[in-house]
Amino acid sequence: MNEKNNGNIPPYDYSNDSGDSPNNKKIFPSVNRAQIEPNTEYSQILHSYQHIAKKDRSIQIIGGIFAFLSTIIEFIVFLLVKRLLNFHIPLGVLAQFIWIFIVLLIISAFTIVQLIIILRWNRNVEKAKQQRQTLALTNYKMINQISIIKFTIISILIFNLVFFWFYRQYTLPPRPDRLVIFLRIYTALRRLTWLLIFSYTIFEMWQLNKWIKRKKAVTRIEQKILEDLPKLQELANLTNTNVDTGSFDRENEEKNDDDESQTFFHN
Amino acid sequence: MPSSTKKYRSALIIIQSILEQLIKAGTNEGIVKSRIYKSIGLKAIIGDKYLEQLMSARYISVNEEKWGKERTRQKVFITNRGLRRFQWFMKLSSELDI
Repeated sequence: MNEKNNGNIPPYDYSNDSGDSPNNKKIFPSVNRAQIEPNTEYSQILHSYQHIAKKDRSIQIIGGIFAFLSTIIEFIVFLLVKRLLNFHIPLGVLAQFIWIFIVLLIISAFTIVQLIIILRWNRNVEKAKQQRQTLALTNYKMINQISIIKFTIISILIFNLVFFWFYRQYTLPPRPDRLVIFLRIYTALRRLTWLLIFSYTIFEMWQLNKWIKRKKAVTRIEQKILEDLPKLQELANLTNTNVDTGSFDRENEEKNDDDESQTFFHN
Repeated sequence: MPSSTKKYRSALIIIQSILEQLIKAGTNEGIVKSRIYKSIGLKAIIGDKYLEQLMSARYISVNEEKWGKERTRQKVFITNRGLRRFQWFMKLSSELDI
């Protein structure tokens, strides 16, 4: 995580094509091309990548805590409802008071999906660091995951709003004496859930801001490439119909390196 | 310019992969065209179109050299411009703050 700017993407001037900008020098120090050995540029790029590539821990930690706590709450609510049904309270009456916990269950489900995607994201970082995957492939696997993560964040935020609506809509029922203990547990769980969802909403809003900026950075760079390659659409159409993308792996690359018989072209 | 670049992504990943192969080989070494196609999984006819576009964008240069008595082969080299474009994408990783 970028601690200097609180997780936000630093502004970068992509119009500077010189390769000598301070930002460029900081991340990829320039070298004298006359003195370098073959592979030096790649080694430098790889070294820089390994230096800057970090796993995304915030979603993993906060999401994990949220999923764990909400599972405990759901379990207690389940036991509570089970006991209340023994008092011959109709399920329809109970339902309106457990709506918030049903919404909590949906939010937990989206959180778990988000955790799985972040796990894949972190695995990609690890693969690139250990050179088990090309940098190009790593980049694009991660770029494709940005949209899914954004979708889960937006879904969670929508359901958080639904939660707050239900919370306001259905207030506590009157207190028959025989249910006083149940109502105390229910009230405690209700407040705890509100606190949990409120904190999680703030966290997810921060995440949404971060991932939107990441997405914008990707689009900005891709559009710069599009300016260089105006016929990119044509290439993309050809690729989508003709290329086996499954062959982008390191093992294949290494195998191909030995295959000298394929390395000529007849004119 | 279109707002979404998602539809070009399949082409962009190939472009990045070609540039990565060339940088990996060494900027002064170059790679024979067919080796690039094979390592990325491109058909020669499509690969030629990519290289054509990359040449027109001045990302790469192609030199023809003699190979054996009668045959020639085409070696592809990355240019400074191509190197900088690849670095952009790697810079993306720092911007992605991963």
